[in-house]
Amino acid sequence: MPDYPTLAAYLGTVVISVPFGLMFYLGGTTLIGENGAKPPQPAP
Amino acid sequence: MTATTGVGLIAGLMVLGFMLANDTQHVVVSFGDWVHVETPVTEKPFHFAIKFVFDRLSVPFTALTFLLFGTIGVFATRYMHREEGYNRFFTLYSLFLAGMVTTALAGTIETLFFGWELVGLSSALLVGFFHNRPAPVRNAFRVWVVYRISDAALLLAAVVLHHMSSGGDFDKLTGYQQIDGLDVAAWPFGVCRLPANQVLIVGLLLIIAAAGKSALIPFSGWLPRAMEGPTPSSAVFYGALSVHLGAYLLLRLDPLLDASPVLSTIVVVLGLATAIFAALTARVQTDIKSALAFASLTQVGLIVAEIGLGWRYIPLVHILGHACLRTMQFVRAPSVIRDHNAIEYALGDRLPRGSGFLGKFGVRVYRFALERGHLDAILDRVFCAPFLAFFRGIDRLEQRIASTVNDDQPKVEAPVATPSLSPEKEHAI
Repeated sequence: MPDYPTLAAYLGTVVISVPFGLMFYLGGTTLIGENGAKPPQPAP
Repeated sequence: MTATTGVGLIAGLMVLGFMLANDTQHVVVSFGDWVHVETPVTEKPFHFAIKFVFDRLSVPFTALTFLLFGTIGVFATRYMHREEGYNRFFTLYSLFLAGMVTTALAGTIETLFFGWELVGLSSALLVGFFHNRPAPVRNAFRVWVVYRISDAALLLAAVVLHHMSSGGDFDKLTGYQQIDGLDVAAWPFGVCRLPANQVLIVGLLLIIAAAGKSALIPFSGWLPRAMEGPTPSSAVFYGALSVHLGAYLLLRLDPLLDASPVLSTIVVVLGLATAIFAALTARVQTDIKSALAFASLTQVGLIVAEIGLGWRYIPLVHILGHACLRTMQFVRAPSVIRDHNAIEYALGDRLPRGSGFLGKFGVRVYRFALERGHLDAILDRVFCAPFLAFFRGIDRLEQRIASTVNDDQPKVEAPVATPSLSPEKEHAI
């Protein structure tokens, strides 16, 4: 069990990392989804 | 999205629990220096630290951010269903969360500036979310211009603070206070270490930054325009979180206000003037989102005045309560209109309206409120027009230089139908 300051620092890092992780995940999936990861559509 | 927001909220609350259990008021999470320069001229090295602080101010604000972000995020998944740009909305929405959490937890002014910019960027892009219509794009541009002014003031304050103290760490700037024989730097016990003249310069720059972000006078014109964005983002940005960032900045650097009666007086006057202006203007708005925007502004003005009066916990509690209430009102707004119409339809008559209360001054006050204090026109002439002229001039210069370098004939520019910002044309549209 880590001591209190270390644990607080870990939790603090989680608090800060979560929004950035979400931002990059959603940003990445949006870009990929809209710009090229779609399978090629058959010609009409 | 809900799960990740929940993880962030729980981790934040656990930090709060540890702080309460261990009777700690100040937890610092440092990621080292981004820039570190040893200079022979000054004693201290210049450094830009990436540092986050958990204290009595940042933890409640972060918890509020996660809570409202998650709640409105769930609301938005249904509200924005099948809307074009659904993914784009949530990307920008998460960008806003990153900015808010960074700003709330920032332990240095440059970290705060980074978060501040993310909030501004996501805010302007969400105002222009429906970019196939001209009005949202025009209004997003207006928001962006005001944010540039506010950000420029904050950046200048950061530069000045670095120049004075070789670093932008809040705990070093605001110093320590002796409580029970211990050095305490935790909010709100900091004391200002800067001389009076430097406090005044930095304080004025920070007030400009806060006024721009919180739409205080004279920057109030952008707030109703920002309602062009989707309702969920309006609720979180302009009802709850973004609009309170200016007040948050003033709370974070409260020792500067304590050290300067001039600054405190300016903050009180600014807050009260904004509250009176917004209270009058809110009464004559014909659309519910603008009325709510000005109602929010009234409370923000009061919060700012409370900060100027030297209170610390009251404005914080006011922010938390107001943010929750206003978010609920914003997301309820479309249903309220429908309910109101249903009641009138059932009654077969109009519901009673409020009567005038200002006597013979009523007409003048009404016109003042209807024109939103002419602040939009003033903002247009004083800030937006010079801003546009400056950057268009730079653009022309760049084109001229490029054509000279490339040995081309200078390109004759066709008159471009740029979006006008004059309020008269806005009303016509």
